[in-house]
Amino acid sequence: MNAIETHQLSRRYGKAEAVHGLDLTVPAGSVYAFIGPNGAGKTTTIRMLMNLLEPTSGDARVLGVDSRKLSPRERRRIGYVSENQKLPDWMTVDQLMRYCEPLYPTWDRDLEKKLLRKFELPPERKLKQLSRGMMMKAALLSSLAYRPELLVLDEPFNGLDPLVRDEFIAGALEVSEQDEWTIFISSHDINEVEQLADWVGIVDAGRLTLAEPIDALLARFRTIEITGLADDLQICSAPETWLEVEQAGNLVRAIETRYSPDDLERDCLHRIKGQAVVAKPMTLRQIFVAVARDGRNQARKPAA
Amino acid sequence: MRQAVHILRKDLVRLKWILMLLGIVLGGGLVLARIQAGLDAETAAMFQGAAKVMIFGVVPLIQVGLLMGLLHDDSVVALDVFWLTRPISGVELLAAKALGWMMIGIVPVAVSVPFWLTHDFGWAQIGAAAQQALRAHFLIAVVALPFAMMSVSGSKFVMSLIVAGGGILLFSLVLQLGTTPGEEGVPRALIQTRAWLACWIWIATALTVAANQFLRRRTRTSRALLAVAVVGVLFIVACWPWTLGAFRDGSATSTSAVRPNGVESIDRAEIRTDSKPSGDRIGIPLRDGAVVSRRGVTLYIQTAFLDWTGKLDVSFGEATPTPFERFSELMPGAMEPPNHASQYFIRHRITGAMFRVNPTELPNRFNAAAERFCRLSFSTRPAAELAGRPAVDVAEWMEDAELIRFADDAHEPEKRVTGRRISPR
Repeated sequence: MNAIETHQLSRRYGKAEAVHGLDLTVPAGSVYAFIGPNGAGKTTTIRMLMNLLEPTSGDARVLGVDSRKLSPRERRRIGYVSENQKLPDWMTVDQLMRYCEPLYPTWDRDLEKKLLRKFELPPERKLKQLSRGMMMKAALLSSLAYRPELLVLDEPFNGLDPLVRDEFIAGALEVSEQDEWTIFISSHDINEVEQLADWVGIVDAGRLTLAEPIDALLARFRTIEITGLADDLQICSAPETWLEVEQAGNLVRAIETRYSPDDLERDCLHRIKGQAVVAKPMTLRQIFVAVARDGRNQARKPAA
Repeated sequence: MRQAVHILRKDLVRLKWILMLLGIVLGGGLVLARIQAGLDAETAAMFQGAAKVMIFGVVPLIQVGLLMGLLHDDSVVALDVFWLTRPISGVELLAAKALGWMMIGIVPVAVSVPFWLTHDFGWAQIGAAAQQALRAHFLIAVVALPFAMMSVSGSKFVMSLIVAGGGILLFSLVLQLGTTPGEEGVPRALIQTRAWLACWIWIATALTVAANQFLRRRTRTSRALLAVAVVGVLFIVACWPWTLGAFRDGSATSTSAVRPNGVESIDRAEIRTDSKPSGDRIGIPLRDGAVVSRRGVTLYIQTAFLDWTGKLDVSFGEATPTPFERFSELMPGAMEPPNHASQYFIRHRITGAMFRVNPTELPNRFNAAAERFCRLSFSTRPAAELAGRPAVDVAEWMEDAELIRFADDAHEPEKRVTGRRISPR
């Protein structure tokens, strides 16, 4: 079963299309990183999933329920933390917990205490007196203590220092791993999510450009470098699976999106009269940048 | 419902300081009102003014602030609010806010009860006075609700109120500009019809928008509804041509008796007239509006005719028998069984008063709003004189009201009436 499924989900703001025909599948139990540059439509997508915004077209199912029909019963199974969310900041941390507790039959006081200690949150301190990082931790705590099946984190790390970020991630992971929750986390910074996600979806300009398990993604993307004599290096025809092909002197560099160790050397040397081929693994950040850049180039083509 | 109570508790904790402020300001106003009753006219006017500012100026402002606080903490317009992603349904939230508003309405009543009790209000009168206070509370909610609900911050709320208020002012000025001097104005019955329709359109819109936002969160629809309502109200105020039957033939409410801290009629059905009372005789039965004690009868009048200086007739109506002990306690020496009129007196015994009448200010249109609450005082007869008389008619000019001052000596009733004398039927 999938925790989240969307089908042709779209949302327009006047003439601007924030999300366009999004088909997203988040497997249950996965930690899904939903990444994209600022303005890519991540927050809009999450708002539609949480029924904060109504889709212009298409539909979404969250925990098997139409997102437009999410009732308190489903919300008890969903945790939501967003950088945009306003907490009742006149409350103390403890008041916030006491306010949330009766809303969730599954509220776990022991877990709450444990996380309170772990996050080093002062229970008697008012939320408005907390730093941004502490505030986010309080929000996370109020969403973890009832052990939700699905935890949705919308840009939770924005403005957090690395220490707080690590604590935040560790807290979320530690609890979620015990119960095999699904975590859906959006971010524009891949480094933040690389260490915790096992699935990744890259969204750009409101379109999902890529979605697959991180391991598979890392396995199929490579930076390839072909060296040879400058006069011999002729790019006859770059395969469709190559991105960002460029030549500089006696070096041709490209990104292979369907890397296969067996076929690479033969394929490269067949197309380009080089002497040596080196394939280097890519980081998620590099993949993200390459895919995003390619997406934009593709988008520009029809206009040109 | 349990969840609604849980949210209500949260709201009350959040608003506790403003609630306390409301209690303090209202209590302070009532204390000032109480003090002024025992002062000479000049000093009393100062206290009276301060009391009015507190009770009728600051208190409604605080109530508006409370409404805003109540709604903004769980906004039904913003997307980033806490409750939206929590297992709280719109119905529960609406119930919580409605409960919260009702609870807040209890504060003015709770603060006023000691005041009413020390002024010898009976339970029925306390009930009626509380009803008035709650009605005022409801009125404030209805006026401010759409603005508070559709705004996401205090500044936007205040701004929208200012814009709305300014718009209404501008609109009324434009309407007045279109009137030729000396031209006969719009008939009163038609004005009342328009006001009635405009009020109900606004109330219906406010409630519809509330339901729409809390249950469906269709902000655009709500905004469109509000815009239509504003246009509708303006249209009705400017050009609605037909008078409703209820406002024809003198059946409209224009004069009514009120409680000292009340703002509306208590016994509307009893006191109705559609004609300007100047020169006419209006029968006002001294029921809930009358306050009778050994020291005299105090009648609180609220008039819809702001420039009214006409004649006022007061007559005692039917009364319900009350225990004989009370009669004896009130009128020592009158040991005979209570008669019709004296029973009535006992039943409505209230001493003390809040406002003195200042009839010279009544014709002033702009002061009139502040001077709505007038006090007419009439001496009662000693119990012996009342015995055997079924009722008493009191006739007095309002211009003379200033002259009709209380005297503490209950045994010299005639001296207290310096206007026209009480004339027994």
